[in-house]
Amino acid sequence: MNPGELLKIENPAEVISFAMPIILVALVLFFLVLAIVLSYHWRKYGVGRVRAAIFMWTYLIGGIIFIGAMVTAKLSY
Amino acid sequence: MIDLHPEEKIVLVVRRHWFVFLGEVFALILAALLPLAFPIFSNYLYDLGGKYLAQSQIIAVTTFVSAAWLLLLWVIFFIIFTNYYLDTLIVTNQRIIDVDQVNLFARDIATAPLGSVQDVKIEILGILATMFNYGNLHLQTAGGDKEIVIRGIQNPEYVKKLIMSTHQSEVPSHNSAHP
Repeated sequence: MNPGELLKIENPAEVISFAMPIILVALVLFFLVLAIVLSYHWRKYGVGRVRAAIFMWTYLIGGIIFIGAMVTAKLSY
Repeated sequence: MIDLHPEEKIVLVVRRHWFVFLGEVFALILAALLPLAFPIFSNYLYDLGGKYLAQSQIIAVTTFVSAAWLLLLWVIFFIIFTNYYLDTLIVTNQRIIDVDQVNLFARDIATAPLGSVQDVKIEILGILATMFNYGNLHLQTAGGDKEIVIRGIQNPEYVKKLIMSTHQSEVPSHNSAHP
């Protein structure tokens, strides 16, 4: 018995196609909310402007790379 | 942000040792290596999904899942790093401030005037703590059983000496007050 039959899913390809954008949007929202919260913390709790900027840009660039990989994979699916 | 009193000067700002931080992110590093297992199981994945998906689609799904997994770990890493970086012990010429960043939305700040410090104890426990020079610092303050504990602090011996020397130089001694 394959997993598709076990879960009574007619076509797993459609489920994956449906789930991909939901996962993508959820993770991007999570990522952006954290970006706001982290930058707030770093500035409010006395970290210098330059260090806070380096921290935030590292966070954002890394995140954009992973989000870009997700979007590319979704488009090539 | 810590508001300093007039004429208050920061003598030392110290964080937990980087090795303690590394210990916290070690599980994340292992988790980040998980997507490397996909190529090892590629034949199994092709057999499993081959009935419904083309090989290119399976590659797209594994890439998507790997990127999503790494993004999640990336975010968690920055939360851990923020908690580590904002968790500080500040020694000024008037008081000791222990900022404990418990998590992103929980922050605990304990302050003790230097004059109220009665005893400073350090603990260096284990071979790694000895090698990398980190340990726990216990500050016993006046007034019952009040104690500030800072765990995994770097160079605890130096911090202890600095607190004691600042205490001696900044706080008038009892002997001079009662000759």
